[in-house]
Amino acid sequence: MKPEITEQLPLSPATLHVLLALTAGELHGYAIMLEVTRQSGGQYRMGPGTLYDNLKKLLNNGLVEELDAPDAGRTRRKYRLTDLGNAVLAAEVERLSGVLLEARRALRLNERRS
Amino acid sequence: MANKAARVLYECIVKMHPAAFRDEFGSEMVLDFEEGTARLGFARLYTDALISLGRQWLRDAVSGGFDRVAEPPTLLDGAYGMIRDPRMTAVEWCRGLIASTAMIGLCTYWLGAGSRLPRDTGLVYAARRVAAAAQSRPGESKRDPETTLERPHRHFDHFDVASIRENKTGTTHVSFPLGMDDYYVPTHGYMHTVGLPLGAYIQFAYKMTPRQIVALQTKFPDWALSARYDIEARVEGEPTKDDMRTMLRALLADRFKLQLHAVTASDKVYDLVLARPGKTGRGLQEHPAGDPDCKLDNALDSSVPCGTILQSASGAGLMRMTGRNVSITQFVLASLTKVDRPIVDKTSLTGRYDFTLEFAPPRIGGGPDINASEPLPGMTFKDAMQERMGLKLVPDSGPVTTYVLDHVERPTEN
Repeated sequence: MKPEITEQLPLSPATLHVLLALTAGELHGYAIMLEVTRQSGGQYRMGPGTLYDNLKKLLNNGLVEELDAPDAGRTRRKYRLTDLGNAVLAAEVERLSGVLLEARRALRLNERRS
Repeated sequence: MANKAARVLYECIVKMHPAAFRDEFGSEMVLDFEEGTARLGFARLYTDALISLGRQWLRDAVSGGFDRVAEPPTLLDGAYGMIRDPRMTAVEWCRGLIASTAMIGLCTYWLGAGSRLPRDTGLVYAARRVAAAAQSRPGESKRDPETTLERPHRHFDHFDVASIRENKTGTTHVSFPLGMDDYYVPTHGYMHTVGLPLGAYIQFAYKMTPRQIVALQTKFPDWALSARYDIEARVEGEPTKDDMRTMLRALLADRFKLQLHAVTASDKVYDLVLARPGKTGRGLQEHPAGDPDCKLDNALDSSVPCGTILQSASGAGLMRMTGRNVSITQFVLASLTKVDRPIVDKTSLTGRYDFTLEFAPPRIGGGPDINASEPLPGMTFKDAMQERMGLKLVPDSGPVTTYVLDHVERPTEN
């Protein structure tokens, strides 16, 4: 795995949710918040402060890019995932899958022992 | 008036952020605040903004300022540049500390007002409401999960207030999911959709499949295909997703003078059957009896809300569909966009199931089973379903319902 990907891991839950939301396409801030709520089954409701704090980091790290600045006909700024962002998200999902696998195995072993 | 004051207060908090952050995201935060108040509530939004405020100033103080210009100064910089001192003075520290403490105290008071529940009750309550909405069945009593009191039944047949405006900005968003399934995030009777075409509203209101709405749209006048509309509507109480559909149908009939009727005729379908009679695949597990809230560990992704099906990217170009405690009918609804014909459930499976399915995303123009001109990253939806769940799709013909447009016109003025 490339170092520019591994050095971004692990992602915080909020960052993971924002990246995951942007897999749905080019979204503005409020649409990202709605998508995060949908993807988390309503259990995680992100506010604008948390969202833009994370977007700022993601923009600086090149995982997300902003579409062209809004013109007169479009009032909201939209964001999309970059190729690097996609790769980091896939790597994080793989990492979490490994953690889940290990956790389930450990829990089953624990159950058998008890 | 109260909303204006709330917005001004939020703008004040935004203005207290470091200049670089405020300049870049401040206006977007205020717009999100306006749109998110009905869904998130003032207290949560203020708390979020205050946490953001503290985090940004802390980061600014640690890093020594956002606005250090790395490039050498140019003539333009000299003429038009802004000067900001990256270091905070003692007065600024004190001012920020006093304002933050006051705001946090105010929000804590609001969060606690009227309730002596634990601090994160809001999240728990929201999750319980989602689960309760997903689990609700026709005929079941409507019980408030927080108070456990029987709610008086209200017949939601129209919105109390509604406005429809043509949208020319190209922006889109919805205040709750408009899918065919029962997945719903209660909004306290508030519906706010931005930039959707008339077809999307009709599809939601009449619970149409993608094929049904595409067929109906062939009879739309040109304006109905190109125009986008914002709808903001509200009703007192907590309507279900189906109540929202009923009220939207009434609104469309009233404002768009929409009239349509259903026609059922024989057409090509897929029958969903068991690949091996009497046996499901190992990937389709019957949900444990007596566990309607998914409290028992079934070794399935617990992030999927009980009673729902979630679809997401799973890495390596595959899609993942995960269901917890769902019916085969729900699975059929979720599968409609993956194949090119309507699906008729002939499995006779009446239980509730858990499953996880990974498959190659359907290709535009007919799905992976038809135009497989290049290698797929994994199994097609049909193949994955047969191997993992023991279910297969058999081509057949059967009754298919389509909708016929009788009348529609541009919406009347608000």
